Amino acid sequence: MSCVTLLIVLLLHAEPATLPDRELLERAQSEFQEGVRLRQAADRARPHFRSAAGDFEELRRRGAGNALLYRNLGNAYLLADDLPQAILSYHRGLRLMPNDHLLRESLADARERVVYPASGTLGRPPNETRPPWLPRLRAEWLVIVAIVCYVLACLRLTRWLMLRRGGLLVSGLLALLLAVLGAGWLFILTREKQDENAHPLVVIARDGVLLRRGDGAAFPTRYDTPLNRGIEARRLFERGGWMQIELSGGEVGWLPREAVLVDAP
Amino acid sequence: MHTVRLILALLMLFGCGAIARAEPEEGPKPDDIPVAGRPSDLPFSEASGWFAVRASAQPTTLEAETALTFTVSVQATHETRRPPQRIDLRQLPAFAEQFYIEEPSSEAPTRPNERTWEFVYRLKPRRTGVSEIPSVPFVYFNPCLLTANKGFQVIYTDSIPLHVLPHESVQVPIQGPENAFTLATGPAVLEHQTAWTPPGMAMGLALLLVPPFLCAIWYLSWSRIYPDAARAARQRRSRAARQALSLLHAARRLKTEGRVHRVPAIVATYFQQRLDLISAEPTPHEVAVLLMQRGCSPALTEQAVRFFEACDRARFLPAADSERANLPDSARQLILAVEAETCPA
Repeated sequence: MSCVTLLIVLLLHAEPATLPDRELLERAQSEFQEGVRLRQAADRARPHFRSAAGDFEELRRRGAGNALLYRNLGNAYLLADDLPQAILSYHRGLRLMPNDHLLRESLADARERVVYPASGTLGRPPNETRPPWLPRLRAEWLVIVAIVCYVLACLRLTRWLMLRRGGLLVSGLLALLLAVLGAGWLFILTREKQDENAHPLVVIARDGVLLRRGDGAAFPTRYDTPLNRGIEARRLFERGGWMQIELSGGEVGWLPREAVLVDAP
Repeated sequence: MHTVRLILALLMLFGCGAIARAEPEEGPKPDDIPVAGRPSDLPFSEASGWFAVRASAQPTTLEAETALTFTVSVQATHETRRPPQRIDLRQLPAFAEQFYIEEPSSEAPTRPNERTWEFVYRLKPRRTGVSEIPSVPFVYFNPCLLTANKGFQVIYTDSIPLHVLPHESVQVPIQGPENAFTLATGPAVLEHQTAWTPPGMAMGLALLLVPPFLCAIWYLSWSRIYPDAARAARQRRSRAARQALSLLHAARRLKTEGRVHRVPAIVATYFQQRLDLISAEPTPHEVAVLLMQRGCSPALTEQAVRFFEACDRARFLPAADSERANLPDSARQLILAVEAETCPA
C-alpha cells in the first residue's frame, strides 16, 4: 500500500516529460508552415514564426547545430520580425557552411532591412568585393589539399632520389610548392579564426543605441548618430555591464551589454 | 369650558407648527445628505430625492475595441432636493474589467425634461468574450424615509446583452524574400556539425614529419630490397651507354656529312638519358655546366667540351677532315670516360 502511495506521489511530482528532438522539430515545422499559411496577416502569422523560432532554438540548445537548422532559425526569426537574432543565426550557419548561397542571400536580405544611418557609412557592413563565382575555400579542404600535395611531393622526390628522372623532380617540386601555398592560406584562415574567437560577432539588439566613449551612461557619446537593431560589430572588451565594440568601419565605442546579442558558442 | 379647550387646542397646534418651522433653522438643512450610512463599495451619485433609473446602449452588436454609446437615464419620481451627478464607471470592477471607458468630453448631463438626467458614456468592449453591459448601481439618498442613515437607496439598471464580434484589423502581409518562407526538413536538421578548428602544434608537427619519415623508410627499404641500388641505376645508365655506343658504331658507316651531324646527336641523347641534360643540341658551355653540376672532374669536363667544340668545327669549318673522321672515336672515348667516372665498378 505504501509503495502505491509512494508511486502516486512520485508520479504527481514528476517533471513534465520533455519532447523528443524529432517531435520538437515537427512542432517547429508545423508552426512555421502555419505561419506561412497566414502570411497575408502579419499579426496572426508572427506568433507562429516566433513559436517556431523558439522550438528551433531549443533544438540548438540541445546540441543540434548545422547550416540547415540555422537557416530555418534565421528565417523564423526574420519572419517574426526579430532582425538581430535572424542576422546572428545566418552568421552561425555561414560559419559552418561558408559556401551555402541560400544562407548568404538570406543574410543579404536581412541586412537590407537594417536601418543604417542615412549619412556616412557608420555601421554598414563592408562591400563584398569577392566575385560571386569564386568559391570560399573551407579550411578543411585546404588542409586536405595541402596534406595531399605534401605527401605527393615527398613521394615524387623520393622516387626521384631512386631514379633521378627529371619529370619526377619537376612534379615533386610543383607539389611541394602547392603544399606550401595551401599551408600559407591555411595559416591566414587560422589567424582569422583565432581573431573571430577573440572578438566574436555582436549584433545590436534594439534601435537608437548610442556609442559612448566609456563604460557608463555618464560618458559622452562617441557619435551623435544612434545605431539601430541589426547592425553588426565585433566585441573588443567587456566591463561592468558595458561592452566595447568595433564597427566594420573601425569605429570603436561602448554600449550597454543588454543592447547587443553576442555570438557566443 | 369648551371654548377654552378649543383655544388651547388651537394654541397647541399653532405652537407646534411654529416649532416645526423653527426646527430646520437650528438642525440640519432639508437637502443635506448625511455621511453616515453611505455604501462604501459603490459610487454615490450625490442625488437626493426619489428616483428611477434605466440604461440603454447603441449599438449592441459591434466589433471588439470599437466604441458604443451607453446612456444612463435618471428620472425623478418625486421632488428632487439634489440632482444626480455622473457616476464614474471605472470605479465599478465589472465595467473596468470588460470595457475601455473613454474620458467624457463634458460631465454635464443632458436634460430631456425637468425631471430627467441623462449621462452618456463611451465604452469599448475589451474582447469578444464580453456578452453584456452589466447593471449600473445607482446610489441616492431618499430624504422621505424616517431614519436618515437608512435613507441611502441602491437601484440597478437592467443589464444589456451585447454581441461582440472579432475585431477586423487591416491585414498587413509579411514582407520577406521568398526563400525565407522555405523550410529545410529531414533528419539532417537535427545533426550536429562542428566548426573547423585548426590542428594543434603536435598534429601540425606530425603532419609535417610523418611523410618524409615514411619516405625515408621507403627509400631505405628499396635500397634493401635492391641491395645494389646503384647497380640498378647503373643498369639503366649502362643501357643508355650501350645504346649510344651501338649507334656510334652504326654511324661509322655513314658518309662524312651525315656523320658530323649524327655523332653529336647520339652523344647529346646519351647525356639526356644519363645526366638529365635538357637541351637537344647542347653548346660546349652547356655541357661544361652540366658536368660540373653533376660533380664530374675538370678533366672529364674539358674532354667533353673539346669534343663538342670539335663537333662544331666539323660541322661548320670546311678544313677539318681529320676531326670529322675521328668524331665517332672521340665520342666513344667520351662516353666511356663518363661511365667510368660516374659509375665506378
